[in-house]
Amino acid sequence: MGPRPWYIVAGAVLAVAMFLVLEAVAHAIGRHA
Amino acid sequence: MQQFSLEHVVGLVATALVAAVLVAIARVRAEPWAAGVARGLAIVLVLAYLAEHVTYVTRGTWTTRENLPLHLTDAVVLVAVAALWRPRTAILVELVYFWSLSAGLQAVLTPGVAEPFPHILYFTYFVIHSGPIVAACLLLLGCRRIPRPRAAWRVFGLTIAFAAIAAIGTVITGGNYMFLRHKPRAARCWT
Repeated sequence: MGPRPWYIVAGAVLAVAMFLVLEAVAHAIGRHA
Repeated sequence: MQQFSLEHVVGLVATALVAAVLVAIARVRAEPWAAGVARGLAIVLVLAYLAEHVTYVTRGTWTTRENLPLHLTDAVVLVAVAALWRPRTAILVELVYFWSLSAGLQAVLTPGVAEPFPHILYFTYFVIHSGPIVAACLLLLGCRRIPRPRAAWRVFGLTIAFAAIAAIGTVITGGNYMFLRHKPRAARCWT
């Protein structure tokens, strides 16, 4: 069975959300470095 | 390997300890030591990556369906080696940071290795998946290489590009690179 389309959409949204959180964390670290 | 078994927890604790020690060395001893530590970690990653492939080849289980460097893990390891060697190249540091703390962290928390301690694949699994996480901590916290603004979107675009390459490889080989065909056996987060 191939991947269901909504898995791909949900995965992309989750990845963007995760990356944005990680970017915020990185910049918070940068401000305190 | 059973999730959160003793051998899994030991791997997690070792990851945290190595990251803490390398970051502390880089912060306390500054530039020449930080560069030496980074390059030492890069060499360890290369050796572990080669050892894993040599192990598969020697036991006759290396296949184009599973072992081409088309998983995100392969990309993270190879990019981590480059970033540790050339930490001033911002895009390399950004890729290691975002990929290792998303895909790499999931791989370490839900290990997909059947061989138990002290099999060589147990060690290569943790070095290959934990190593880039340690590298990200070292580069950000130890060497203070902070991702540039909008790095998340840059890395997301490159992730899509790599996924397209992995998709082509998946179709040609009949494999499951980047788990595009189906989720891995070890996946437990949302099952």
